[in-house]
Amino acid sequence: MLGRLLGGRMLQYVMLIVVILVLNFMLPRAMPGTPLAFLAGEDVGLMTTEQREEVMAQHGLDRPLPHQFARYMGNLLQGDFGYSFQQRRPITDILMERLPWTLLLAGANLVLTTIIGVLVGAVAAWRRGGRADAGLLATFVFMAAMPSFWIGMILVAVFAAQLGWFPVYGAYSTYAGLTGWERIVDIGRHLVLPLTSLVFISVSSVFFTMRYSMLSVLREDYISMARAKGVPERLVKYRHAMRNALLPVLTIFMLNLGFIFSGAVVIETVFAYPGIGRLLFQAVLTRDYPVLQATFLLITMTVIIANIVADLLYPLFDPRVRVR
Amino acid sequence: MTAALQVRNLSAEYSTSTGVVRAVHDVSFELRRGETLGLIGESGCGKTTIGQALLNNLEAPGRIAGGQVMLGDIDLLSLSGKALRRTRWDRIAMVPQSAMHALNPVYRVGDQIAEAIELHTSATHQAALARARELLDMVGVDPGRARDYPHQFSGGMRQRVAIAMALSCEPEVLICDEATTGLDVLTEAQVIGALRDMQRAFELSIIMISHDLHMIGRVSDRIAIMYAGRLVEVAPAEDVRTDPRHPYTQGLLSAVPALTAEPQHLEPIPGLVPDLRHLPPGCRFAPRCPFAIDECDHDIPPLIETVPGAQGDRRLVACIRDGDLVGKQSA
Amino acid sequence: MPKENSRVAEYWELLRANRIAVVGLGLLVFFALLAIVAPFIVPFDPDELVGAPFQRPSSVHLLGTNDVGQDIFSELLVGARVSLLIGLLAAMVSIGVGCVVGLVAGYFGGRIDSALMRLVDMVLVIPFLPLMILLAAYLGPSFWNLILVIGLLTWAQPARIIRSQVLSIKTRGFVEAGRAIGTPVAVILRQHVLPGVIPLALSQFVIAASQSILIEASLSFLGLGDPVTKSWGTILFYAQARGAFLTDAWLWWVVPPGLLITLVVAGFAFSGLALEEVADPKLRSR
Ligand SMILES: Nc1ncnc2c1ncn2[C@@H]1O[C@H](COP(=O)(O)OP(=O)(O)OP(=O)(O)O)[C@@H](O)[C@H]1O
Ligand SMILES: [Mg+2]
Repeated sequence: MLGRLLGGRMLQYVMLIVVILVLNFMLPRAMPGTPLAFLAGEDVGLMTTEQREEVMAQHGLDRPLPHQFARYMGNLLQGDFGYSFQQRRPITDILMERLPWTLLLAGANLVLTTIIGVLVGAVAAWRRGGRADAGLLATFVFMAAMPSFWIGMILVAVFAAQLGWFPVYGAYSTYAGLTGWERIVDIGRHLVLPLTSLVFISVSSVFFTMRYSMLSVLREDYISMARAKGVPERLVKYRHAMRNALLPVLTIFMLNLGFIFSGAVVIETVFAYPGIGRLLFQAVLTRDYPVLQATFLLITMTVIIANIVADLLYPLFDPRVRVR
Repeated sequence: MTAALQVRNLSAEYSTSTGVVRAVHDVSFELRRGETLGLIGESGCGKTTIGQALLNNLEAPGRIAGGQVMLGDIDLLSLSGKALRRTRWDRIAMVPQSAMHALNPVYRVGDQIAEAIELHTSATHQAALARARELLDMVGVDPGRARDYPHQFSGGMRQRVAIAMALSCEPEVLICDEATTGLDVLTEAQVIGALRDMQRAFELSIIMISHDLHMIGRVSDRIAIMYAGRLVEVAPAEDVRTDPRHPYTQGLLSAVPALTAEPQHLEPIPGLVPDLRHLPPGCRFAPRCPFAIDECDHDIPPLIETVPGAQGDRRLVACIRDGDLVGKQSA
Repeated sequence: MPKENSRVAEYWELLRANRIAVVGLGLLVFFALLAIVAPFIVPFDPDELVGAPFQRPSSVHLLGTNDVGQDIFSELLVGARVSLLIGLLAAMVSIGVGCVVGLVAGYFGGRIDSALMRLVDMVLVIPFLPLMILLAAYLGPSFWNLILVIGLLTWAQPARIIRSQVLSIKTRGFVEAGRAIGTPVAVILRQHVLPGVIPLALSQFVIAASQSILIEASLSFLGLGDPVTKSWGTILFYAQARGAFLTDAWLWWVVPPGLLITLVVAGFAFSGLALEEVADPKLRSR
């Protein structure tokens, strides 16, 4: 029943996952030269032919492509993302260490962005055409126009370097040995600036969606009807208009996830925040291709899973798509 | 006997980027207790605007530009805020033109009807819901469906739900804006039947807005005919059918086929409804009127009492040639 | 044709009456002029080492010098060209693909439509910056790779918007009627579809340009920009790498490039909003 409703979408997600996996598998192998450099990261040039062949065999690179793909998939299914020759550690360990920080940053951002964007967007729509609306519109256009990393740099320059209110980089004070409540405060203080930058760049899309959707809901007949039957203005706005205007925001919420991870990559780089995004950046710098690919895979999978969850939750908010 | 509703010099307008559109201009009429008054006119002549204005519920960019809507000795147009919210729906309610869209898609219909009851009485939610189910039953909707959402109903049923919602506080006056437009003949008959029953049960006075002359002719006691924001004629329904006085009413009748008669010669009214932003100076119908004389372009003809028709009831017409034309045209 | 003229005149009138449009177009004209004249008015060659590194602003070096002694002010002026060019070219790719997909999907409908829209939905879900980073890392940073990667990963949204416009044009009946009497596709497209699509495509182009400029800045900031030409993003990459934002230098090395990016992007965004309003009367304030 539920399956039928989601059938089309699910198929799409599965297809997307397959495309991403194949892309990830093929990229290093389709590049000119030996895939060894991309996959093993060894100094291929320094090896003898025998050594090279030995490493190739060790990674199964001498087998036909379908074999290689099967092995690749098998490893992934066991949660094995491969090995980073740069860091000399299994990639899965690295990812697990980084993931919580990105989830913290992205999750907090998602919550804040949604609350702020929805409330301010609704207010702008309620004051359509007025000064407040025009001012908010211009403000949010400018906010969306600012490069995320630049916001981060400015915030660091002002609030960390000049004023010293917040730490300059990282997610926690290393070697301070903080525990319990102190540790939480410490992590919170480290989170403020990166989170602010991320909210700064991602809140606009929620704002614009909410404003537009609220404007169209306010034109609906059921709003006029609610007023006619005596619903006080405050309830008209919150009970009758808000609930409907939120539906498109839920959809943009899903699209936003990809955007938030993109933003996180850049912001984490500015703040040397030890999350997945910074890992991706470091992998680019050091040409650590296996890590690069694993990170990309993890981000994409997270986004797709979040999309699936959002799809499953949507009917809770909109009776029209609920299965009878 | 006093009127259920007394409308005096009502005007309403919309401000648009190209200027102010006066959609309703100096309209006066009365709605008698227990009667059904049909309000009829071409699309865009201002019927819906009157309907919304009667409830003092015009949405921006529309606004009331003047006049009074007397409910007993209360002028609805002078009320605002809480007083307005309390009176409206309690004493005067409406089924909006797009009853299809008048229900909030994310709430159950029972709750939406109950909401109105809770706002106007001290009923608990349970009691209000029970009443909502009764009302649904009365308009011919299975009360068990109170738990359904609007999208689960057909168009005709949503129309009935809207009627049930309008009747939820047992108002004295009900305005039905195109309550049956878009319904098939059978459903239309059922909806009108339901309205009739309600009228008897609640001693309702109804204003039926439509551009369907047949339907209006069948259900109304009296009919008000509107043209370009003004009333041009008000008369008993029978008189309108047999003895229309205003040239526009006559044109309207000869443009509509009678269901019963033999093959007829239909004559559309030549010309178009004027743009409300660029109205002719005098009678608004003059440019399309076959009987227009020079004087018609001078002043707006007032809606005044004229010779009673066969029904013997008062009738009003807004035409300076009324006296000359009596008896000449109706043949 | 007088009809075309009056339509253009009407757009122009609406644009002029729109304060947002005036601000946006004003900004764009300013930056276009800057990009054109920059090489002729720069005080120094931005690639030459013209002084001691890390200088504070002075009458010679208006915004000081960077870590290797290049004049920051000159870098900024010339950077306008790179940022604008990459933004516009990437937007062209994006809108080109978006238009073709949107037109084909909307016009032919049926299976082609649902297949293309599936594709669009998929592309929209992918987190684009990580994918761009992946591709840029493999393909190697270069001017054209940058444009292709940005363009090919941002066409989905415009495609969707243009498709829905085509669908709404189709409901007016000209298209079906034309097809029924055997009017060639090209003629139907030119006479009935394109006039409705072009204003929208234009507004989408402007919006895509603003996004492309931002993406280019991000990629350059991550060290994946074109290594040959220096864009504003590249300047910030070096400012970050040399820790400029931890010293006073943030005022003249970090603030100006970001401000310029913001102004250009806002210029495009404002123009896009205004064009969208003109193309879609529903959005007009009244
Ligand atoms: N929101 C609005 N803004 C501007 N003008 C409006 C608005 N709503 C209505 N009008 C104008 O007011 C006039 C009367 O409209 P109204 O909806 O009352 O007509 P109507 O008689 O109910 O027509 P219909 O039979 O089509 O429902 C029309 O000329 C219309 O153009
Ligand atoms: Mg109407």
